[in-house]
Amino acid sequence: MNDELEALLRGHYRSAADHITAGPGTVRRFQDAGRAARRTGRGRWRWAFPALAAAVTAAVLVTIALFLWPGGGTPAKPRPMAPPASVPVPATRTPAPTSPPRPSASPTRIPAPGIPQRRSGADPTPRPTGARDPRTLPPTHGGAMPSPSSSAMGPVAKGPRATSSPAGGY
Amino acid sequence: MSAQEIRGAEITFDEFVTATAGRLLRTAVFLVYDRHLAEDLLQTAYERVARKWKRVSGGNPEAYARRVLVNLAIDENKRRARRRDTPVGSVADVERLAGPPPAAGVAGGDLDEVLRALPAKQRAVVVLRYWCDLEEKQIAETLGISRGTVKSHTARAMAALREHMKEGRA
Repeated sequence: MNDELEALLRGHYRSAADHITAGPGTVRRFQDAGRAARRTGRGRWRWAFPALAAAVTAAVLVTIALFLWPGGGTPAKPRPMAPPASVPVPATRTPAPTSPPRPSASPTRIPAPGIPQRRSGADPTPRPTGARDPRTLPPTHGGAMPSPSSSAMGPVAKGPRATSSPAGGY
Repeated sequence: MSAQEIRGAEITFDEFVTATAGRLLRTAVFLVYDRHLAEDLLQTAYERVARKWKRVSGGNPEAYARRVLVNLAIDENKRRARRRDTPVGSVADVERLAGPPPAAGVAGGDLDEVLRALPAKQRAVVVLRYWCDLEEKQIAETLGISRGTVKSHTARAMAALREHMKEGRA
């Protein structure tokens, strides 16, 4: 019974297969579809490497920019909030122009490059390094001069330190 | 059929399609009983083969294409069963192509009806066994199931066909 059924199935498939043929048009369609699929598969990865390279380059550039940016990456060095102590405090001390420049132990002693060196006879009033020239500031409604934030604590803060400096007190 | 299988190492994809389109199209028709759907499934299978042609061509590209095709057909049959959809083609398509019934006592159309009523995997096992002449091990590899499952699918399918033959003789 089983052999008969198997023979029946085989004969059935063979006789049906004789009439199922793939014509030239069908074969060409399969070939074209395969070629198109291969092209699509290649095209999908075509931009993978350039895109990856661009992403890596952008990431490196951003990282470098973050480290090189002022104040970025490493902590900022302490900068003096007030004029250096070598600049004389008004009405207390005048600068000694004849004194030879000595290396200061404190970084606050180094005059800021933005501050012009004063000559004798010049206006001894210290100016804050971070403040703008009051003459260039526009007038305010109240008429009061704008008080720069650094100037308020500059002379007050520098007073005791100036006296303890080796150049001044010793 | 396995003796006729071509090896892909020395042929191009177009040659492979030309050599295998007929055999694989018949397999597809026996699996889904719809010529148009069979062509579509085979085209999809060829596209997948084409994408992996470099890797596949060194081995047995026809076996790979058949595996893709059978699994596509099983998925399609399951999808149709879920939707309770009827195929565009009909049993008459295969019946007309098959010509007169191969064996006395059982009409080809009736046999097609029984084969078509089989669950997707049982039908695939029957097609692979009696049309493609594959062994149990090869069928198991093609379908990705164990040999025991192949045996059980075959036994159930044959039982259904036997039942049909008894009814035909009665």
